[in-house]
Amino acid sequence: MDTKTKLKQVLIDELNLEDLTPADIKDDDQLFGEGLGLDSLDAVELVVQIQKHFGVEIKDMEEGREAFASIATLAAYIEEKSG
Amino acid sequence: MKRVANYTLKHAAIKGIGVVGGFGSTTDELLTALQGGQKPQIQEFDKPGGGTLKAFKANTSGLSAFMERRALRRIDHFSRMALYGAHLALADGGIEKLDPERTALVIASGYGAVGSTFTFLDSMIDGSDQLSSPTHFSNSVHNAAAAHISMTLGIKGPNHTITQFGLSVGSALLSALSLFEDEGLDRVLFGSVEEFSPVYGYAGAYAGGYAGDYSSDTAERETVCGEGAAFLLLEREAEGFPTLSYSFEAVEGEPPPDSINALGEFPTRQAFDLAIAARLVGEARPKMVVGHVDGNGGPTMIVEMA
Repeated sequence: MDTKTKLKQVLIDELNLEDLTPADIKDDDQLFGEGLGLDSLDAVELVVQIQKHFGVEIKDMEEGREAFASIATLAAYIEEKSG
Repeated sequence: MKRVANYTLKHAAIKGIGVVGGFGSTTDELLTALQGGQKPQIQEFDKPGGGTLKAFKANTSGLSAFMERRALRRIDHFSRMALYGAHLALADGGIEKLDPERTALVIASGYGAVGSTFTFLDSMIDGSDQLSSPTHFSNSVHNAAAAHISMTLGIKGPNHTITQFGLSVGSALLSALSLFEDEGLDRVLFGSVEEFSPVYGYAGAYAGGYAGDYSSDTAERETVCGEGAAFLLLEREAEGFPTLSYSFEAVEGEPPPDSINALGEFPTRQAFDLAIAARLVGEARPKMVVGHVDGNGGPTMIVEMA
């Protein structure tokens, strides 16, 4: 399973997006605001879940803000940090 | 039954009843299950050390009739049971919209959200605080259910969660009725909720003797762990609805024939008894008495319904 697909499944499972499947989430969908409609509490949860599932720790908030733009940017960030 | 002490006496009308548990989500289903006519939903789980235990699990899928699924995503099973019970009580009372400022919420829970609590504790043990979910933490506190209900229903009056193990329901009901002394309140939504978790079942099996064998022969049936929520929509007075009279009394002697006596440490069982008594009185039974005794056998609460 590639990083984007695994990331989509983690989002659905850990954030309880029960009304979505991985196929419903586009790679360039915004995570926050419009798009998936996540909020600041989801951001905190995501930091925890990315470390848990991918072993990548997000410490720099500026980096995190850019990484959290979409599935594609977050997957690229995870691949860069875990590579 | 002789009353040897009478500490207080308070009244309220029961305008609506909401129950959810392994039996289903109506008082009809609860009555049928109590009479042995319907097998409740049973789930098996692994017991540490081998074997399995059974438990009555509540199904909250009907909550989607009241709320969008997306709105439920941060709400755990404990709070979903409470939310479902609260919505059902309002629906039973024919209440479509509450007056936010003139409604209070009082919830009893002896053990709280044990599912989220143990999930959070496991994550602390497995991965330290850095890998602990903030959502699980927020759901793990005892008053999480009350918070979700008040936010969902827009209740802005007093909001209390009372936990006192086996005495939780008696204490919370006393608090709920006391709120009617505030003339600014019209209604109190009162409820109790308890959740099953494998840890709870494991402890129950060893300390409480819950064997978990639900035999079709009631004489052979053993105590099975359960979970659920029971809510009563209380008003100061409501013509044509059952009225409960509460007294914190010490009593001696045999209880009257039309009585329900809840023993044990599962607090929501006591709230289910109140719901059933209200249902029976609402069906023209002249009077019911619900007596609750604590684990040491001392009486703690007498509720008369007429």
